[in-house]
Amino acid sequence: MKEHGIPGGMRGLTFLMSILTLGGSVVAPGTLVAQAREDRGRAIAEEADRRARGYGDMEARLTMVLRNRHGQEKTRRLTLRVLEGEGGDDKTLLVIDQPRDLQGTALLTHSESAGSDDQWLYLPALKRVKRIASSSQTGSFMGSEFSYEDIGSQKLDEYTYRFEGEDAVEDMACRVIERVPVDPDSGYGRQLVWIDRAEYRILRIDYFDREGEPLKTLLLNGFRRYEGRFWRPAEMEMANHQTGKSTTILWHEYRFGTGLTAVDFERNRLHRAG
Amino acid sequence: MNERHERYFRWLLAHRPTVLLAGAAVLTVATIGASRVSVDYTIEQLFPARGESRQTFDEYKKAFTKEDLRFSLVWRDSRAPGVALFRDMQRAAHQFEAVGLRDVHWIGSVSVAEPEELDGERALRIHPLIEQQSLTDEYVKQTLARYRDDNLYRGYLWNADQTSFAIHGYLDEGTADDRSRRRIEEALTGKLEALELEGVETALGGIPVFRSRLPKLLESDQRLLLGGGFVLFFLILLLFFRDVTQIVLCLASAIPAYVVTIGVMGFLGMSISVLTSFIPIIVLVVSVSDSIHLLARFRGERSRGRPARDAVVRAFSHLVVPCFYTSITTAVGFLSLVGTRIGIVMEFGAFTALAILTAFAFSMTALPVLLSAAPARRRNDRGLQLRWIERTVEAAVYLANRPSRAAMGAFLGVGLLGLGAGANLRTNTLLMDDLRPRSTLLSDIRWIEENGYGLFQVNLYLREDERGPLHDPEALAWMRRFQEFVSQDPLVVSTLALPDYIGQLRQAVVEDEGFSLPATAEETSQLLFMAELQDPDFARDVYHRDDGEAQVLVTVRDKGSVVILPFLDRVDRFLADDPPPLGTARPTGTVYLLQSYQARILESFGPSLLIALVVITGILIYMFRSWKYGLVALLPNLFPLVVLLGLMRLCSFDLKPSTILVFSIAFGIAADDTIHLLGRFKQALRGGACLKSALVESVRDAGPAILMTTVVVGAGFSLLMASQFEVLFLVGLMTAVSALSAVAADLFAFPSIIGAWRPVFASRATARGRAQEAGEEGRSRRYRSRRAA
Repeated sequence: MKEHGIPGGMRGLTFLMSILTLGGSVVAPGTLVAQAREDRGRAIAEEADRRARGYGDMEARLTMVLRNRHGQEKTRRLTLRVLEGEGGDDKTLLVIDQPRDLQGTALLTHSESAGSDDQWLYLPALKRVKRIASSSQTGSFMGSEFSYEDIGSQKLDEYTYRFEGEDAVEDMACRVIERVPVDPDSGYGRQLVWIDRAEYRILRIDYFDREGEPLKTLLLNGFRRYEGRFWRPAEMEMANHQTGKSTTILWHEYRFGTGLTAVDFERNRLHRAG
Repeated sequence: MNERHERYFRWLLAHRPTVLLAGAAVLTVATIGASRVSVDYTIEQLFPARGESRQTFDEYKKAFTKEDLRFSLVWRDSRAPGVALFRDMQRAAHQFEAVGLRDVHWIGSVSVAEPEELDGERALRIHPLIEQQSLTDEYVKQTLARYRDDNLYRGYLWNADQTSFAIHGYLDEGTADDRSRRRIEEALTGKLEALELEGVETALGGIPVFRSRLPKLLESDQRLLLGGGFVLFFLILLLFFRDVTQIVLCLASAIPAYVVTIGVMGFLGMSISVLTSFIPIIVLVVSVSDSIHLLARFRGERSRGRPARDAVVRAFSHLVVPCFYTSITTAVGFLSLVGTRIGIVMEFGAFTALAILTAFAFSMTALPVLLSAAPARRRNDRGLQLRWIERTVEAAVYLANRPSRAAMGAFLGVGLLGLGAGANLRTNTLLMDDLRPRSTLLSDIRWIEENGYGLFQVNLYLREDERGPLHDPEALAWMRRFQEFVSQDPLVVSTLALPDYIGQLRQAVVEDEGFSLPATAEETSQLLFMAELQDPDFARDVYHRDDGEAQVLVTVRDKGSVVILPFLDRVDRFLADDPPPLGTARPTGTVYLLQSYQARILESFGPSLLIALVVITGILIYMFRSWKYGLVALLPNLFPLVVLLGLMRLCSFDLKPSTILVFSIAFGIAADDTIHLLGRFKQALRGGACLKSALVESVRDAGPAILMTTVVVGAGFSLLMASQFEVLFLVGLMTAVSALSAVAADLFAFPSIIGAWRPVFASRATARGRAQEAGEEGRSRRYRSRRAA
């Protein structure tokens, strides 16, 4: 038995979509230099967030490859649909295609910036839609090294920021910011985020546990620009340093502006999602 | 006296500084090695080092680590369950968190899957069993009543009638070392005491608590033994020898042996275990016995007016061979433990043997040098002529002169009785076996068990195979059958497995049906996915879906191997008759491994003892260059063992690993005295004495020292009877008894045996000896005639 998880909110996979970029620099370099490190860190995060948004709706397929410490692999396949809402109130529908025993299981999340999210789950084996009263954010998502906290939509105010300095990821010049979760029930003590100078894409995140020990590292690769605006990675690799396990998410078939509407994200249509 | 030996000791005394410097160098190097040694009392040391059962356990531990990380507070409250009880338990639960324990489980934190109304919809909610925002006496009472018989909580959070409750907290796996266990246990004990709960009885238990408290008890007992034992040995020796310096030198010969042994362990990267921590005690016993003989002989030589150097040379030259044989036979006795194939026991046997041989080496190098340099004082050996010693020796001499079939018959009778009783000894080992009933720790454990909880688990470890997942309905139904099967056994407190979680979850989702298991693997999988959205660790204690591993947790009472081993056999039979439909199932866990370990030690006890006897007999035959003497010398050694068997039966002690260790010690003590006696006997025979004179001479010569050894060892070890550990209590009691029976066998039985079989042994006496014997016979007849007149 486990102590009850603190309601936090699995808010869909919008964060995966928010690991994005924007061209140009909104805040003048000279101004940034003049700002305090905290302000500068926040400004960089705001800009990265701003560039990630504005796509309206999108759909993508994911293949998740789970590797244990012996290198054995398991595969999960998912379909993700997102409808952007105002002020971060997105609607997300996640449909599981693989493993076979979860095929057709669909999780609908209505993010609420003002409160806790609403969630429903469709269980095809029972042919029932069930409301979920609250959800945990620290647990592993489908046995992967991604937690619900990692994949949930991440709002700017959920962290405090600090500019740490300049660095490079695979020869790409980056700014490094530290972000510390405001929620005391977060699974992390802090995170270091590498954001490239040119496009504000997140290229790497180092996660540290509550004791300050290195926990995981996320690397994002194979970025492509969609719709001339939205940078999306083709591959995200999360390595857990404490367990030796890792998970790779491969993204396919990104489609933006597919015409999804609020009706597609209604509870009553959930049983048709699969 | 062997001239080679005499030359050696003269050379030694001529090079005193070199010898001392060499000894100091060895000790310095050993100290460096000893400084690297850590103390490790992990329970896994007691498990087989290799083999299938160990491999299964190691695999199981990688998947389910919690078994030995749990601190449990059992709570008996005179109040009816309600808000007051909840609040007090909450305060105690906070203390668990305050000391750094994780996943603190109690009625206010453990989760339950229930349906609830949310915005006009039915929702699944996994929430704490008793929620603070709804807290009323009635709510607490009703909630507890509703889940009273649920496998998820009964036997874990409360007992069957809900008169006692429990709080559990888990050590972080990364900090599950001895230091953290001890720090957390001490902090938690202090914080719980500071709560000053009224009308509440509590006891703290769990494997980490034992692992923290047992070494502390062990250390305090070892301090008692090594400190008290040294003092007592010293005082008794002072009574006999009245010379502080000489006594200190003799006692101190055990210290370098221990330092060197620990140094070797350090260089080999090994740790001190529960068993190797007993090495100082054993080395002290063995070396003090030889030291008494050496000192008595040395002082005898001094009393004849010889200068210190000559006295040392003569005494050590005379005794180097018997001391070598006493050391080698005892070392062989311990070395035979290597045959157990249990890592910790093998280490104990090998390193004790090393320590004993090192003690011999120091006794024959540094001790004569130091003894010769000790300041000369007026000798006062009144202690050696104590009236009871003289009388006892004279009684033995009387028997040596007049071998009595009655005396031999009496010994034979006692021996047969002991053997007969030993054949009926019960083999039984408890999990918390080494504690005495009056120990606080043991009484806490028993109290916890009396309150309806179990602290020990048998774990059925399941691995998925290609036939399907372990959450398949067939596999769930099988787990259920297994749970029902073991639950019938009175040994079992509770069981927990995946069906318990899934059943509760399904009931909460499909509200119109009662407790039932899913019909398909898909349904289970989807239900688990749903639960994990709210509680990521839902059912993680029993099922790791992604790794294809599960367990059925069976909590048992510590009722001893007489009950547990048949239970484990029944589990094996169930698995053979009704194997799991999917995957594999293997029983494992601490209980399983500990009982296997103890059963293996008991099985190997006979063969190990037999090997030791054969090797020691071989050594004795070689020592005397006569198979007859070798075999006869074995009889007094066996006598204490059969007396111990009889004593154990009489006192209803069970045969268990700890009592077996006592046999090794007893055998060592008995062999030492016999060898010293036979050494003198052989020297007398070689000197041309007749059989009877040789017997008389050896009893007169070695008798006082043997008696002194008995008093010192017996009294010193009696101290241990105050210990909280049963093993130390038994070492105290049984060593004292074996020392007494050994002296009786050596001084009274041995002369009778030799005397009774005189024709057999007389052939070995020289012509002068036979003539002397004829004269003795004549004198003896004249003496008897005078007495008759």
